Amino acid sequence: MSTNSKIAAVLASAGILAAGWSVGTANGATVAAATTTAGGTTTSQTVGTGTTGSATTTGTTSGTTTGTATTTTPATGTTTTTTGTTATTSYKDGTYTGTTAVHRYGSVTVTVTISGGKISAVTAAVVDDGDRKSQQINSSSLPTIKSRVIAANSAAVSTVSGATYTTKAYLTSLQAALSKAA
Amino acid sequence: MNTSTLTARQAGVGTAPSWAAPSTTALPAGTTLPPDDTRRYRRRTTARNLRAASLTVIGWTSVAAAVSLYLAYGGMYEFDALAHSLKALGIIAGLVATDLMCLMLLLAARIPYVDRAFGHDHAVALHSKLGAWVLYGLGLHAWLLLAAYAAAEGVGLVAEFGSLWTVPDFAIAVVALLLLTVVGVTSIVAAKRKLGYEVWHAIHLATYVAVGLSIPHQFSMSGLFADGTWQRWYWLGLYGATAFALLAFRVLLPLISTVRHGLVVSRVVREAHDVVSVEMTGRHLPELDVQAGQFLHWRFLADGLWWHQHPFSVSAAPTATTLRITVRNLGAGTARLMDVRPGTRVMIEGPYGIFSDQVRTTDAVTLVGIGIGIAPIRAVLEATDIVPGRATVILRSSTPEELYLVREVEALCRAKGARLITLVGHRAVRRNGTAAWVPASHAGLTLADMVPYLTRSDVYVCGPQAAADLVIDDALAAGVPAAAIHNERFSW
Repeated sequence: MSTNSKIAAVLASAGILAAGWSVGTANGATVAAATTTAGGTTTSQTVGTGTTGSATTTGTTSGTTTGTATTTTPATGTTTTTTGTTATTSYKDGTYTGTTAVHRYGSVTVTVTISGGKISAVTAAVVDDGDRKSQQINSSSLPTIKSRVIAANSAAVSTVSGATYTTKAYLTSLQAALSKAA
Repeated sequence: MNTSTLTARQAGVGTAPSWAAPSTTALPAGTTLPPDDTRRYRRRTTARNLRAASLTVIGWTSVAAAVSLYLAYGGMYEFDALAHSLKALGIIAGLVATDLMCLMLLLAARIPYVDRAFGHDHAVALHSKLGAWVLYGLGLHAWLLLAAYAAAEGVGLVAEFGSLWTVPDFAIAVVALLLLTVVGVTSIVAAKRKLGYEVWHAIHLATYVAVGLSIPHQFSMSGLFADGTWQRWYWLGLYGATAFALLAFRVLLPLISTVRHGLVVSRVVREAHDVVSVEMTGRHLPELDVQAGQFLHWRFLADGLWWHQHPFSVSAAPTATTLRITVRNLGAGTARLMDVRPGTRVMIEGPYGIFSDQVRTTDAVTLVGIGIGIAPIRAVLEATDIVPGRATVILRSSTPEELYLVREVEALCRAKGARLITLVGHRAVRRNGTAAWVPASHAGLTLADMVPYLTRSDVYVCGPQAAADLVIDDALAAGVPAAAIHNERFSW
C-alpha cells in the first residue's frame, strides 16, 4: 500500500466519520429537545432516525413477564384498590393522560385512572425503537413500575434496574397526568 | 560436504545443458526496447497500482462508513454509562465485522477488476487475513453485548445468556457465529492440509448458511437497522451488491464462459511418465482473453473426473481456437487426468491471476520455472516481448526427466533470443543447514551470478512454493524491487 493511498484512505475515513458524527449530533440535539419539552404534543417522537417501533399497550394484559429481569414485586396488573397506607395525596376522580415522554429507546404515554381519590389503574402506551432488546426490557419492567406506582399512590417510586430510561420516561408522563388530577 | 550432497551431485551428472553453457548465444548487450514498449509497461503498472490503491481506499472507507452510520444514528450518546458503552462498543464491533465479512466475500467473488488489481493470490491472502479479524470482531460483538445487557439488568452473564434465547432471531445468530468459527478454524492452513480440498470447500460453503442465519437478528434485534432508517438501506444495499457479485462472477460468468466457448479436449500428449499436456479446442477464444501464464479452474466432464475442479495455468500462449495446459500427477484428482480422452467436454472458470506479460515493468526479464512450474513460465516466455540479450530463462528440476517441456522452451529461447540455463539435481544444503534452491552441483550460486542484468529485470518465478520463495529471497537480496517480482501462489 503506497503512502498516497494510505493518506487518501485516512482522509476519506476521517471525513466519513466526521459526517456521521455531525449527523448524529444534530439528531442528538433533537432527542434532547424532545425529552425536555415532553410536555407539549403527544406525537413528538424524534429519537434518532428511526422510531417506528410497535406500540404495546400494557395494563390490560396482566403483566406477562417474558424476560428474566429483576422483578422484585410480582406483577399483578389488576386494579388493586389502594389500601391507603401510603396515600398522602388525594386526587380528583377521573381518567387523565400524561404527556408523551420521549427517551433514548422510545417513548411512554401514561394514562392514570383515579377513583376514590387514589390511583386505581395505570396504563401506558409504549413505543420502542424497534430493538428487540428494548422490547424485552419494556415488557419485563412495565408491570413492576405499574405495581410500584399503585402501591405508592404517586410518581415517587424507585427506578427499575435495567430499565432506567423506561422508568424515568414513565414517571415523567405519570407526573404530568397526576398534575392534571391535582 | 556430506554424503547427501555427493548423491545430489551424482544426480546432476548427465544433464547436457548447464547454466554455464547457454544454449543460445546472446545478442550484443545494450539493445533496448523501443521507447513505446517501456512506456506501455509503465502505463500498465501505473494503472494497476491505481486500481489496487483505489480498492484499498474503498475497503478502509467502508469500515469508516460502518462506524459513521452508527454515529449518525446517535451512537456516541451511548457512552454515558458502563452498560451503554459496552453496548455501543459491541454494536460497533459487530458492524465492523459485518463490513469486513462483505469485503471478504467480495475478495472471494473473483471480480475481474479486483483480480487485475491485486492478482488472485493476493486477493485470497487478503481474504484469509480479514477472516481472522471478522472472527475477532464477532467474538467481541457477542461478549460485549452479553456483558452490556447483563450489566443493564444487574444479572450475571449466564442468566442474561439464558434470557436472551427468548429474543427473536437470537438463537440462529448464535448458530451462525458457531458455524463461522468452524469455517475459520478449518481454514487455518494446517487443518486445511489435513482435511483435503473437497472437505474444506464443503465446510467453506457453510459460510453462506452462516451469513444467511446472521442476517435476521441484525434487522430485528438492532434498532439501527429498523424499518425506515437509511442505515437499513445502506446495509441492505451492501448485502445486495455482495450477493450479486458472488452470483455473477462465481456462478453465472463461469457457466456462460463454459457454454459460449464449448471447450473440448482435442489432444493429450504425454510429456513425462507423470506429466501430460492437454490441448483443448473451443469457440470465440479471443473473447475469453486468456493471457499466457494465467490460470483457469478446469472441470473435465468425464467419469471420476467431473466432481474435481483444478487450477492449472495455460502452458502455451492461447491461440484463436486452442488452449493448452500441462499437468503433473499429484495424486487424488490429478491421477485420473493422465488418462483423459479427446472429446471430453470441459467446464471452465477464469482466467484468473496476473502472472503474465501484463505485469511487466521493464525491458529485461528473468523467468524461473521449477518442476511443473515450468509450464506457465513456458507460456509467459512465448507471449512476452523479449529484447535479445536481455532475457534469461532458468529451468530447475531434480532429475533431467523432470525438465518438462524443455525442448519447447529451448526452441522458444532460440527463436526469441533468450538465454537458457538448466539446473538439475537435488538441492544444495546452505551453511545454516536449510536447503537452497540451486542444486548441490552449483552450491552457493545465486540468481545474480546467473543474470547480470537481474536487478533491472522483471523476475517471474513459478514452482513449488518453498522453492519459489527461496528464489524470491535470492532476488530480493540481490536488490530486485518487490514490484518487479512476479509469483502466483497456488492457495485455495
